Amino acid sequence: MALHRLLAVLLRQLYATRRSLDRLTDIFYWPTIDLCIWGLTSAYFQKFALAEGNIFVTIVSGLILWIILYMASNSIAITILADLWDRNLMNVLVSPLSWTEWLTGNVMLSLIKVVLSFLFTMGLTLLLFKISLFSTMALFNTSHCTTHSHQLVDCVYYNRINFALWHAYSNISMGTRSCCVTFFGNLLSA
Amino acid sequence: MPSSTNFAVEVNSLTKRFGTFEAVKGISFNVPKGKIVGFLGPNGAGKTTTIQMLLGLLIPSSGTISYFGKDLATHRQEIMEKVNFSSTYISMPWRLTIKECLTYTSFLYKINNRRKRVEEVIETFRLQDLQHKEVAQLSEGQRTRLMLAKGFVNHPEVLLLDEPTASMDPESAQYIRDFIQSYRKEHDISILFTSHNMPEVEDICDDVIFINGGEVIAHDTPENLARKLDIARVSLTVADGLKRVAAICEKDKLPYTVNGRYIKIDLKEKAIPDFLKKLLEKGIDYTEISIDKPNLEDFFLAVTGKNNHGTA
Repeated sequence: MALHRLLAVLLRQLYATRRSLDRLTDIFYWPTIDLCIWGLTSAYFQKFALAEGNIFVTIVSGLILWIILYMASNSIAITILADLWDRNLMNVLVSPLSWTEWLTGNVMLSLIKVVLSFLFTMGLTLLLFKISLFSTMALFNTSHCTTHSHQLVDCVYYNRINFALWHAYSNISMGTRSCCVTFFGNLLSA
Repeated sequence: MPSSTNFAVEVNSLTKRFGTFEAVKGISFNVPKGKIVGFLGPNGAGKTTTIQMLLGLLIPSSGTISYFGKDLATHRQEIMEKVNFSSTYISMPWRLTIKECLTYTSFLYKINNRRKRVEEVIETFRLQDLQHKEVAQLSEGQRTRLMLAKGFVNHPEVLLLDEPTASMDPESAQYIRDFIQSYRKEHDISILFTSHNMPEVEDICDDVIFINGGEVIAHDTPENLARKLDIARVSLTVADGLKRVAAICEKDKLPYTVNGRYIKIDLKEKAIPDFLKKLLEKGIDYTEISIDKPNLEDFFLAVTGKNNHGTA
């Protein structure tokens, strides 16, 4: 093993890292976000969920929110990045398509994916855990809440706002950031 | 898109700066309707930057671009309906089949009977047998044909072609060149054509714009550009008297190279008769002679300073 060759491998990565916002965020940005998300989540569990005595519904409903928000931001990012990865972006941009149309189309596709994912997740939750968000919403509207359904709705609509906001923030920021970095990076290098 | 101007594309004082670096320095040129104009230059000359501005992908630092007499900056959507671009260096979504790619592209434009148009371009570019293959499974040459099919799908009035026959075998390349020329005649479209294949440019282009260092340094027909070089190359296979030929060249300060019994001399076209007369007077016996007139490639090399055979 030669030291100079090890140094070559290190240098290759260090040169790339110091000019790459992506790699720098891996070091500083994501640890910060993760700490905030899980810190707030832990604080929430400690303060409310454990006290209410139904951690199961709390986690499952939080997970559904997580999936929806993740799917929303991720699918927007992926559909946009797919054109870059396929070297197809230039074809799109030299057509009469406007930015607004392009983004709207991608958002529409993402919404379809989110709805499909949401329905699938809800079905699976119903199948596996006998928890239905639709029935809990109906119960909520008619004020006939069971303990479970009330907690689920409560969780979705009220108590998880902090939690959901953080997820939304982290996911959307991840999506837009990676989109912007890759897009402008590719544009500049083109 | 009716227009009063005779030019399909008009570029005026176009400049693009990246920070302090000026990639394109106030260039102006026109692409007349129904003409194929070559856009040539060495690597880093500013061709790609100019093309990206012509396509609206980059915003010029200053200057204007007009298509059919309309400003690109204010009529982009309307203009892009009648403009298309094809390059060997871009691709289509890899998991889509050829037919899917062209179908989805056809929806980006206002096209009557999209299905028929997609079938037409598939047939024109000889993609029938490949139409259900994914882009990822195509060879470079097949992908280039797909990109050309995409470029023609909207019946463009202006087409920007970036090395359209790169990666193609000679037969396919000739077929594409013939198609482009016949399509131009039939539909009177204007084409801005970039290529590093000089014989191809000479063959297909009516005019050539030569760009170097971000500036247009020549705009003329390929023949006239080649004629700007007043140097021809005389090649001789000398049976007897090679040293005497070399002595004549040195005396007259003519650049020459010797390879065995073979000598190449660069001299002005007008000086050739006198040179041959001297060979006769010195009793030089040569078995073969060829005189190569300068071509576009010689012009390219001369203006980029990559040879010393002539001055442009």
